Amino acid sequence: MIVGSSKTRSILIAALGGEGGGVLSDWTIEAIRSAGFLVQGTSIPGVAQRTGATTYYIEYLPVPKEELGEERPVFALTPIPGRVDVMMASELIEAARAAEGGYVSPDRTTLIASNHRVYATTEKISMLDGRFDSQAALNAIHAAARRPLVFDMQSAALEAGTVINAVILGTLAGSNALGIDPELFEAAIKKSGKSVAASLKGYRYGFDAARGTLPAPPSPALSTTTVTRFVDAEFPVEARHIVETGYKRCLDYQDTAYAYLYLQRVRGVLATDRQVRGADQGWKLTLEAARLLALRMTYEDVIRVADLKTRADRFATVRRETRVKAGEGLRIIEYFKPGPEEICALLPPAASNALLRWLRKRGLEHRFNIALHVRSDTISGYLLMRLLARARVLRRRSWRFAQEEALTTRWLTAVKNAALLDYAFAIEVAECADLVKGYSGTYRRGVRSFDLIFAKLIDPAIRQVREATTAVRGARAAANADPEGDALDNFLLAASS
Amino acid sequence: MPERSFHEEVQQLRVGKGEVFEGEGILAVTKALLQSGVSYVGGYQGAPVSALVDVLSDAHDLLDELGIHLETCANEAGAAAMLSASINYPIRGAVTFKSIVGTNVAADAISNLASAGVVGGSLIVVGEDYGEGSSIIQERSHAIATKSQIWLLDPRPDLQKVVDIVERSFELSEASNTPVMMELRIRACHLSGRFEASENRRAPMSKRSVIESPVFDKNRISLPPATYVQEKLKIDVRYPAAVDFVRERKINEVFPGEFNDIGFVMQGGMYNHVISALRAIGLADDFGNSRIPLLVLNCVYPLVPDEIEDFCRDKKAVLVIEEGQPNYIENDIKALISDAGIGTKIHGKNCLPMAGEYVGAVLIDGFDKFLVRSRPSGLDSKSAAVAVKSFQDNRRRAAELLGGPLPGRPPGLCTGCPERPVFSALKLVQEQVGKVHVSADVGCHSFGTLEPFKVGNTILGYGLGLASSVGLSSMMKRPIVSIMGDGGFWHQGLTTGVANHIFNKDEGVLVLLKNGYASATGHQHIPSTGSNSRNQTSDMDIEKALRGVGVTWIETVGSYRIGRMITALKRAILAQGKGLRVIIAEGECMLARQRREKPAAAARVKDGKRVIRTKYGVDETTCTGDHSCIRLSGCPTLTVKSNPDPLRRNPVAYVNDGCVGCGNCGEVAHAAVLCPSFYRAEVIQNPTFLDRTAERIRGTFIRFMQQRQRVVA
Repeated sequence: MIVGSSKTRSILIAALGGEGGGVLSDWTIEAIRSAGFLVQGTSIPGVAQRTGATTYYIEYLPVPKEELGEERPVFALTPIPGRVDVMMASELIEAARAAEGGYVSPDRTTLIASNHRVYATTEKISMLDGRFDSQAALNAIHAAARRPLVFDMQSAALEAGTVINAVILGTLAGSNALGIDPELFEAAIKKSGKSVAASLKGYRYGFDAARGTLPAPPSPALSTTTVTRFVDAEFPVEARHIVETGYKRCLDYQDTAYAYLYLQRVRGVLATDRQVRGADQGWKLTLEAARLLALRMTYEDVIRVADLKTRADRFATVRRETRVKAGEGLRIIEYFKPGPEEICALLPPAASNALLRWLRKRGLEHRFNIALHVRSDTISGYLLMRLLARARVLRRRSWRFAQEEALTTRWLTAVKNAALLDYAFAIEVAECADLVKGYSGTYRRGVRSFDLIFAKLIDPAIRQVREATTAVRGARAAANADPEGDALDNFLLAASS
Repeated sequence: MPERSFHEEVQQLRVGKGEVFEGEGILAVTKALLQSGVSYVGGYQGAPVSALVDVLSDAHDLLDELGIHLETCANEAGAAAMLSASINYPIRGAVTFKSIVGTNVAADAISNLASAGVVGGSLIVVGEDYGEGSSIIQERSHAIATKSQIWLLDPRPDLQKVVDIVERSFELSEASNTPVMMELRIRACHLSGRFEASENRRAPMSKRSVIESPVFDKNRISLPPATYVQEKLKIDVRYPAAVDFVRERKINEVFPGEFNDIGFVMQGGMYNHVISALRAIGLADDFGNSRIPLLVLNCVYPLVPDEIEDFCRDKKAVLVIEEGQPNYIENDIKALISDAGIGTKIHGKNCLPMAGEYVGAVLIDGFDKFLVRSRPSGLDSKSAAVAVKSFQDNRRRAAELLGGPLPGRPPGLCTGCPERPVFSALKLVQEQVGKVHVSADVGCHSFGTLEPFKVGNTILGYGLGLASSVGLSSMMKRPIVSIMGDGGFWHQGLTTGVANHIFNKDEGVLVLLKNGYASATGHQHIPSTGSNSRNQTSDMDIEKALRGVGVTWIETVGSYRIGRMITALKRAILAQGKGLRVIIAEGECMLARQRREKPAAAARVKDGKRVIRTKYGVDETTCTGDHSCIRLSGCPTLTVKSNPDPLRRNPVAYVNDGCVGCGNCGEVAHAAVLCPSFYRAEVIQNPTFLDRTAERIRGTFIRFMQQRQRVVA
């Protein structure tokens, strides 16, 4: 009996449904088998694969079959933490999950993982940024593995026109972690007989990456950051980039006068910031207010949307994202459903009010929408959208502009007043501008939250000359917790009792 | 066309004596059935045993040669009822389904079968879906076996052993006139391995040599007074016969070990887990030689008392390794040992967790606890503790570096799934009519209860969505909306749900998701597929079935038409007092459709034919990062990416390359009036002369105009 000197090697694969984890497992098993070893694989397919995370597990005995005589190895069906020789993960968080389970260990495991992210539903549905900290995941997997081979295999696969599993297999072969002739891995791909050429291309990429023989990527052209043309020395260095961006955004959005108005307003905030020794705080108030003011002043209306959607760089982005090849045609169909807000973004206040009254009387205020599918790639569609974009000249006299101005002024005044009370409070008040964004329902919900937080927390605090930092922070978090607004209502109810 | 084609595997089903069969566990079982000379096979799909029926469906030529009748049954009850063929006639048969849900549905048939007893060997192969990766409620099949008194085999996961146990099962069944159940855990079903085959056997009675005259035996009828006789027979005759068979044919295995004062008794299915855990702590080698003696129960019910007594007699302590709860085997062994007056201390759930899958880490931890308690002589028991500490340290370190729980990734609706827009519509309609109680059902659509939809308040079983609504519906202000897939509808929803609803004049709304297959289990054909597993036209129709049982309010809506679906749902919800309102949401399973259409489209492109490829997209410049669209869609390809705008913090929505162009995201954005950022891109592959000319003229004009457009970088 040779107890204690186990030669059995184990391979764990973590993949997401549809990434070909099963095929990767089959290729690996085939390569091991053709090397003359006994091997066993298991999996949990079925429902687990419907877009969810799943695993495949392989064990083999690296002793030629002939040398075993009558003896037969007993292979396990599940991995044991600390005993995994090779861990392959098709995605960063799945690699981290394996590390979290102890299946990647510093004394044993070669970790072959892609560092790209496929976001989970719970990360995507956040009203803010719900993404898991990728850096923390990278740190954890690098610390956990004996030998980490981690790179963006998804991009490599896209480049090769194949699925990520081929790149992972190539990396496994190139890493020599199993000590198996790379030829056998290639043969396994060829034997499977499906999209062999593309798979081999992806395989080759992974192989070269593991061997360190990938050709160096072209170094990115040095960015020609624009020299500050509009924003001069009157702004602290930290703030210049944001103010510059904000200025250009306003100029792009409306006209020079509007951009100057933006600068004027930022100057006002900066003056307050100086007054409360903002330099010691890294000019955080100016930075945040300048950023959010630019967003507020360039609110998304139908004019802006039409303008952005007809630009040359936008057409280029669509071509890129759709992977249109040379010689192929492209049609772009826009999904528009303008409602009262969109119409009032064009009409003057008096006309808008009349329209809104008329709609309200019929209970149509939030239900009146015209569904449009506009082809922006045709001459008529393009011209229609350009016409809308040119309606920019009507913007400053529109109902929507007046509404926005009132909101922005209210906000800006409160920010300055809050700064005189407490710096952190002012930052919280400034951040409230971010509640108001988007279109239709999202926009109305944002305005409602904004109004509520101002009326119930910020205005009373300023009137009573006290800060309300914690309350406003809590209220903002509540406003972003659920789209129904229940959390905010509950929060404010609790705060007022 | 099921998800997996087994045409290659089918060839292996023909291999003869002495040849090596290589393949998955469940295929090995299939081959073993043929080697056992079965006359009929039936089943109802459910992972992980669907493959058994799928592969036999693909092997109809071979089945015809052997005269075997194959039936894809309406449900598990139907499958189990097939075994009645073996009650009066010496013919062998097997059925398969998923446990525990399948055994529950089949319980009535199983009880009657077990009471009557069989003369021909009959085997129920169940997929024991317990533990990680399971998609069902967590219960054991063991209770079904003991309460109906059918024998339960649990072979050690080695294909040769599994095949051997299948063959022995038929003999055991015949020797004891009792049906036999064999449980295979999910990983064992998908285990790749090899075994030495033998010849397929043609049964003496089959489609090819028919039974001349029927047998009548009133003692085989499940009706008093025969049932009392049968109950007595079970105890006096069948049980002892089974125990004798298991003992004499050495179904259970003893593996000796050097530390003789302790031992492990385990379910056969646990064997490989136990060996690998022992291997990890230096107590077993690569070939399964263990330093601790092992008793492997390939038959877990009935137990053979003298085998257990012999194994335990000279030992201080024995650990019973039994996955799941309650701990039936452990308790039985304790009673046996006590009755035999043996002093061995029996451990089990005091060292191992009561619930959950017994994977390696769990077992090592249990071994550590057992070795500390039993203190075997001569064994340095620290290695288990060291292993436990080592992986706990690694886990702790990783958790510290990660700084928080990782986002979970449960299964969800696939890209392009026709059920997704229905759930979007159900979410949206509630904004108009108020919150409704949704009675969900089993199927892919169960995922609608998860993020981001969270639509569905209860799930009570397969095809039971509508039936489970009636207890509550008369007490609810708004009508209950029940969900049912077409799989569940034909399984039992039509009778238990719909017919009963009409019969009792109940109120309610039923949304029937008709995607054409039993999709969750691998696209098996069902009556609404239009054809059976042998591709014979079925000509069955859900709407006709509904009308047949008296449903009058029926509306059929294409799944992807969200606007129409919202309107229909609203009408149905507001039609109080109109009895049962049924909306049939029609849309073929996208996986099945893509499998058919993708290669066809690729072939057309290759032939130079004009093909339009559709992909949706989000404009990153107009997206404000609120993610409402994601909350109403949940499509795997509608994801997020970092915001390219330096003024914005939240990630923007983004449609990745996996988009199949179903249009759900755009439709949702439209129906919910979300945002104008969505666009549909249609790529014309192999454009015609007309296409190219139009594109050239438009392109030239637009580019000319764009050069004159005012843009501040």
